[in-house]
Amino acid sequence: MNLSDQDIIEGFLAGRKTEYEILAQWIKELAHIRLRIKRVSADEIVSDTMYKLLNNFRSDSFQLRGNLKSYVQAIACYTIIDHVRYWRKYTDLPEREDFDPPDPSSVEQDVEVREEQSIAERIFRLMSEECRKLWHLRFVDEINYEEIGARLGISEGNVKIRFHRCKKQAITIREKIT
Amino acid sequence: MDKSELLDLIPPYVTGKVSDEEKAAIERELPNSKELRDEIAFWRSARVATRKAAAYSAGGHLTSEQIVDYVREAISNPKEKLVIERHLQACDFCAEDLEIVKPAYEPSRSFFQRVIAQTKTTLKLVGEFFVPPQLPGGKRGLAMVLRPIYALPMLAVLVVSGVIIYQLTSPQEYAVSFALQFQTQDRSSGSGEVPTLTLDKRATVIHMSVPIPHAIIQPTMGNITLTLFPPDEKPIQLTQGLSWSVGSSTFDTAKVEIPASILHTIGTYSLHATVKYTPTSEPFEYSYRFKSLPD
Repeated sequence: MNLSDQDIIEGFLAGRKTEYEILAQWIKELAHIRLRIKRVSADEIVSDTMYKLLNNFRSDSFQLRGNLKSYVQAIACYTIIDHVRYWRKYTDLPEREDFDPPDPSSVEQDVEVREEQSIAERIFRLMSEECRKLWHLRFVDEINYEEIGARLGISEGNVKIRFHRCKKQAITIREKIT
Repeated sequence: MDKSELLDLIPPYVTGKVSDEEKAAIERELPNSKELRDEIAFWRSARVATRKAAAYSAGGHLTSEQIVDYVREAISNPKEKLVIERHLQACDFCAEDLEIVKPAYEPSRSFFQRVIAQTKTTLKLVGEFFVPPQLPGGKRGLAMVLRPIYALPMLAVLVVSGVIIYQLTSPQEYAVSFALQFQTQDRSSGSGEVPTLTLDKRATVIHMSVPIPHAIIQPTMGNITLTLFPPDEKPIQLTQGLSWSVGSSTFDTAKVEIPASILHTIGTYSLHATVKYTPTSEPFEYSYRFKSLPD
């Protein structure tokens, strides 16, 4: 069966298995890259790339300007680097801060906390630019709703609504990737 | 404070940016509200994820998009390309990231190219192994003497590996035995039963036994010649593995090895045995026929 790039995108958006598998196969072709990255899970690369593709195709950002396979593999490569960077951060940056969850009382709990954190970071990478900016203002710049509103030129109420939407987005991403 | 107000307070709560009164209100509700506890857990994770991402970005690293686009030569702006190249020269992290995705955009290599590349890598590793360790003071004198200690076991391993690989890869002989019966010299076509050699496709060699009428004076090997006449092909002198043994008072047996490839043509073959019972006697000729059929 010879499907055009357009067919594959349409089939994927319609939730058809064949088209999904074609895209998954293209991502898996990068197996020789994955082999070099010990801690990066292939399944996570596939699921995160698929999520990005879903959003990009929905927003029509691909627009059939080039070869679909190259596009998919480029997105997969972005994802691979993001994952590698996560693991680098995992070892290079301080793990816990003052507001982190309390030290776990058991090894199992520690693993659970780390796993949760890993998922949270994957979610953050997959969120929209708008949400990441909003969270940055809140958690890095540590400014309140009112100041965020002033910076973005929107009301405080609107900021709260956006926070709520971003949380929903994060939950949706979590459901998709886990 | 109602629940919706409390929920709105959780993001500032996890950053410690709530008033004492708000903090007390949240903590009062916490033991009774799983929703509130889940909310706190969620925003704590969100905060850590955001701060980690920000800390990494603060290092001024290239984005994953910049790295991948640079590798796939999708950056058309020469200034941007220059900035990326300069950063890659200075930043080990980004250079490492680039090396990770580079293979995806290298021309695909054939299986043999990959084998050659792998062999080169292995040889390089072996070469490194043979380099004697640096001694204190940078001298390698004693280490050079010690080299056979490394070299001999390695050589032994290589020889054994070679033998194993040869055994595994060299074609194995698959022999089929075929014994001809003495056939009376009947010249009429189609008369008499012609024995059939059913040729197994795995066969590489046929061990053929040819009955020769017994003589009192046993001939030497030089006194027998066997010639095979394949159907519609030139006659072939058979010499490989030719041997002779006394069978009974009536017949002796000449044995010969015939490569199976010669017998793959389907049809009737003739085999001529020329025997000189004494070096000076006239040769006796015996003719045999057999059919070759594939398995």
